[in-house]
Amino acid sequence: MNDALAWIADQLALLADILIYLLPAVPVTIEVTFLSFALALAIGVIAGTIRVAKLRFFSSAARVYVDVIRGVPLLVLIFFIYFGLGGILNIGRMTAGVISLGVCYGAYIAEIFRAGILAIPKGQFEAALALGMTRQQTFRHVIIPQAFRIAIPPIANEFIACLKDSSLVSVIAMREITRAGREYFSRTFADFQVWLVVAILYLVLTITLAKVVSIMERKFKMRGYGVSS
Amino acid sequence: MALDNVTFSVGRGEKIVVIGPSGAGKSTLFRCINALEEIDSGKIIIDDVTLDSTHRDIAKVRADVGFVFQHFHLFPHLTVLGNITLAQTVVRKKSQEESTETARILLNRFGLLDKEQSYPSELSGGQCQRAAICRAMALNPKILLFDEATSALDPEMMSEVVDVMNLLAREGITLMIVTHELGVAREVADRVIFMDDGRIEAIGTVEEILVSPENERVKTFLAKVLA
Repeated sequence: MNDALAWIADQLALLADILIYLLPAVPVTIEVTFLSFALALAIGVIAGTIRVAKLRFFSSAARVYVDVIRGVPLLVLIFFIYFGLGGILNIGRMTAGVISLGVCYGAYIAEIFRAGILAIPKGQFEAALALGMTRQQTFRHVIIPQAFRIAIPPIANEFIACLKDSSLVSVIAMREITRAGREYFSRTFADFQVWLVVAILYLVLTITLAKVVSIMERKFKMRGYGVSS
Repeated sequence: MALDNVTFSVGRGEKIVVIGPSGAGKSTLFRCINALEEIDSGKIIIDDVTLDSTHRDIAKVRADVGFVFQHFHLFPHLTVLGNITLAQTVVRKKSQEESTETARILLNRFGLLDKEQSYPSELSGGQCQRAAICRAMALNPKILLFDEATSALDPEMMSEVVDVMNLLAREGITLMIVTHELGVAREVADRVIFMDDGRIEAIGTVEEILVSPENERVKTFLAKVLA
C-alpha cells in the first residue's frame, strides 16, 4: 500500500515539475497565436472581399493565393518561410512563425469571409445602391459589417485551430509549449507525463478561448441579426 | 425582352399607379428608373438629367429616386435610426446631428419614434416597411417608387403602409406605385398605367382604366383580380 502511495506522490511531483517548466512557455504560445490570427484576419478579410468584388487582376491573385496556401502543409510552409525566405531576409523566429501561421490561416479566413459575403441577400446590395451609395460605400457600410457577423462562428473555430497549430512552430525552435515539452522530455525521458501535461495545457487554453468566443458570439447575435423578411 | 417600347411621362406631383399581371414588366420598369437594371435602348430623363447606359454619376441620380422594396431590405445590423441616417451621412454628406433630426421628424410623422433604437428583426412587417419609407424619404427624393410595397404584408399591416402612401400623396410628392391592390390605385392615382407582356397596353385616369375600361386585356385582368 505504501508503495502505491509513494508512486502516486512521485508522479504528482513529476507532473508539478513539468508544469512549472512549461508555464513560461504559455505566454509565448498565446503571443504567437494572437499575433498570427490578427494577421490572418487582416489578410483574410481583404482577400475574401477582393475575391467577391471581382476586380480583375486582384481577384485572380487572391484565388491563386488561397489555392496555393491550402495546397501546402503548414509545416512545410513554416520551414519554407523560416529557412527559405528567412535565409534571404534574415527574419527572427517569432516573425517567421507569425507570418507562416498568419498567411496560412489568412487563406482559410478568406474563404470563410467570402462565403459570408455571398450569404448576404442581394436585396441588401440593391437597397444600398438605391439610396445612392457607391459600390465602395455599400461594401464598407452594409456588406462587410454583415459578413463579419455571419462569419464569426466559423472564424472562431479557425482561431482555436490556430492555437493548436501554433504547436508547429516548435520545429523552428520557438520556446512555446510543445517545444518546451520536447526539451523536458529530452532531458528526462519522462515521455507519457510530459505529453499529458502538454495536452492538458492546450486543452485549458482552447476551452478558455472557446468560452470567450461563445460569449462574443452571443453578444453579436443579440444585436438583431435575423432579418425580418 | 422584358420591356418593349415603354414610353410615358410623369409630371411633378403626379401619382402614377402601374397595374398588370405578373411578369408584365412592372418591377423591371421601376428598376430601370433607378438604374438597378440596365436599359438596352432609350432614355430615362429625371428632371432634365438623362439616365442612359453611359451615365457616369448614377449614384447621384439614384439618391433622388426613392425606392421602396417589396421585402423592405432594411439593414439588419443597424437600428431603425441607423438605417435612416446612414445614407444621409454617407451620400448627402450631412452631419450626424442633422441626419438624426431629419430621421426623427420622419419617424414621428409615420408613428415609429418609439422604435428608433430597435433593430429590424424586432419589428413587424408593417413597421419595417414604414421604416423603409422613412429611409427613402430622408434623402428628399424627387420621386418615390413603391415596388409592390404591400405584397409581402398581411392585410392588417397593409393598411398601415397604405395610410402612409395616402399621407405622402396628399403632401404633393411625385409617386409611382406598382401594386396588386386596386383599392390603393383608386384612392391615390392621378393616372393608371396597365402593362402586359412588357408593353403599356393602356394609360388613363382611374375612371378610364378601372371603372369603365375599354381595352379588352384590361377587362380580362380586372375580371380575374376582382373575382
